[in-house]
Amino acid sequence: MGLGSVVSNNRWWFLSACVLITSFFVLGISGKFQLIPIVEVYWPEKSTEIGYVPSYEKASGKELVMVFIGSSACAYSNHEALPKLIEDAKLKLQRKSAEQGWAFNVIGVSVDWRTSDGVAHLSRFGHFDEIMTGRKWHGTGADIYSRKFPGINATPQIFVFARDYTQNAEEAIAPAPKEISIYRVVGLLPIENWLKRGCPLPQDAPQVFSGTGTI
Amino acid sequence: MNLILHKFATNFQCWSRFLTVVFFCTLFQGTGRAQTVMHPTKENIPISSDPRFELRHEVDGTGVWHWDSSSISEIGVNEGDASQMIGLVFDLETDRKGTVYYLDMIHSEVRAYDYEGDWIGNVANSGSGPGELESPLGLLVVPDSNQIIIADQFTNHVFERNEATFELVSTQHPKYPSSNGQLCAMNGHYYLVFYDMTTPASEQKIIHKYTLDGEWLTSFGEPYVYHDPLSVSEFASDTFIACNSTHQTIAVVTNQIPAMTGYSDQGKQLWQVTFPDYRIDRLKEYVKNGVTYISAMYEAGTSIFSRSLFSDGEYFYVTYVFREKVFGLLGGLDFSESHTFMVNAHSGIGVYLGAAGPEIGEVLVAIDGEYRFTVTENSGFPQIRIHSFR
Repeated sequence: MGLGSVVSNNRWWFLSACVLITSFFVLGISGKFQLIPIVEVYWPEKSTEIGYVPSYEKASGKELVMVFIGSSACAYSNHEALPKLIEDAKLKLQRKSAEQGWAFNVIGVSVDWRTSDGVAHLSRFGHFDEIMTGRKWHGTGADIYSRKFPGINATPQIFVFARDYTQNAEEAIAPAPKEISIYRVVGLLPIENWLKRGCPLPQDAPQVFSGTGTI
Repeated sequence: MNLILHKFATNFQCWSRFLTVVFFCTLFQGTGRAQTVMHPTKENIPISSDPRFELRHEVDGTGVWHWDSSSISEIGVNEGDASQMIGLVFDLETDRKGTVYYLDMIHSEVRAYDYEGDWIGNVANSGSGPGELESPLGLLVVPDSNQIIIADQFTNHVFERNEATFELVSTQHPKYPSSNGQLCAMNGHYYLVFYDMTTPASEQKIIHKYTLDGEWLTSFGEPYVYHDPLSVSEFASDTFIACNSTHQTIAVVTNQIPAMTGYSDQGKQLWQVTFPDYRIDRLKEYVKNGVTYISAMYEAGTSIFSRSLFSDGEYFYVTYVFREKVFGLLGGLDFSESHTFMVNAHSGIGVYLGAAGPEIGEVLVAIDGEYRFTVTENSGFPQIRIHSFR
């Protein structure tokens, strides 16, 4: 029995199957029929690089804090080269902190209206110790790092500040950290340039913490 | 310094204030047209009828001046004290008494240095308290006084210098606040650029004159001629001014418009020179989903007036720079050759001087007699260079 005769004998079955498949395909494409499951096939991204890993330690003493400010709506924040630059910045600053015996942590801020957009955007940049997003420039993170520490409202941006949780005997039980702004670099090319230069930081800034030496 | 700002805006940021350069949408949908319009329109490009007022740069790039300075002082290091690490030089002025002031846009500070490059102190720091800077736009050193005026958001902070300290003396709220940080002063008055998008262009001027106490006196200077306020605003925000005390003249240039216009202190147009070799980078106006957008084309080979329009002695100095494509990880545009012109503030007669700095990428931003001040990132980080020709 040839293939032609099999098809011919079962043509109504074949026709019905084609109509059914086509109908479901059209329904699926149109999005009208929500019960059709979405099946995605993808291969996991190759991940061979070792990136920044938070220490997950309690805050105490002095620490250097890197804040990355990006936005899912900003073309330059979405540039394919940026995640690598941010990861390099984290590792370089972490090394600088360690050389001084300071702790280090990284905060991710995404200037977005929708928190889901912000979280998705920040997920492209590896690990953070904490993240903040939502309410665009009115959000808590954006507000703190562009108003409390006044600076330019622009993305992508790396803002570096220092915290001192050191507590003397006369202070209250809960340490109130002192914070000082150290450095700010704004824009894709300046971030790349700053990394090439070795992430230089002002050497006198931490002296506000009296006798802390240079970074 | 607009070229630095431009480089900044072009290459790497989504900056709310400077979104106007890249994308700026308007609610004036009723005025939007369905078709694409390229700016500047023909009627906004002046043509000189007198060749004496046409300034061309020499084809071989040579002019009448040289850059063999006797000494160079530098401000800005790769790594050092905070006062020596420059973020972005957005505006620079000298007091003609040995102090140079610059506005650091990244750190929201105005810093003062002597001509040797040594830091004197900060005029103002970032913050939201009295006299602190939130989003500074420009600065002005008032001639023959110890006063420094800094344009912040809708306000002007006035500081007075006493030796190495700077004291806030007043904060003014001008009737028309500076929209782009362009300020200049002469003979007891200061001038700034402001354009209000909510008022029809035909009913307003873009240069506003104040007493030093912040009292508005008069306005003059025609805005860009077009029916849509978005486009007019775009050109107004790219307008630079300089004051010449000797001849009581104000010079005005606007990016994409190859001309410089001189006004009297009462706003009467005195002269206009054109720059036929300036290559205009067009702005594209289009409507999408009922919203009007303007997008700069940023084409290689086009020119940009730097923010280095300034005055010294009897002259105005103005520079334009050409853009070229750069290749690499991030790509983009960079600046190539620069051309500086000197124009007599009284007559409007000018000459071509030559390159705006000894190196490509180094651009003149101020002159004080035998000192020339340039900005550059040629060392890999931002610097101010003070060239002495004594």
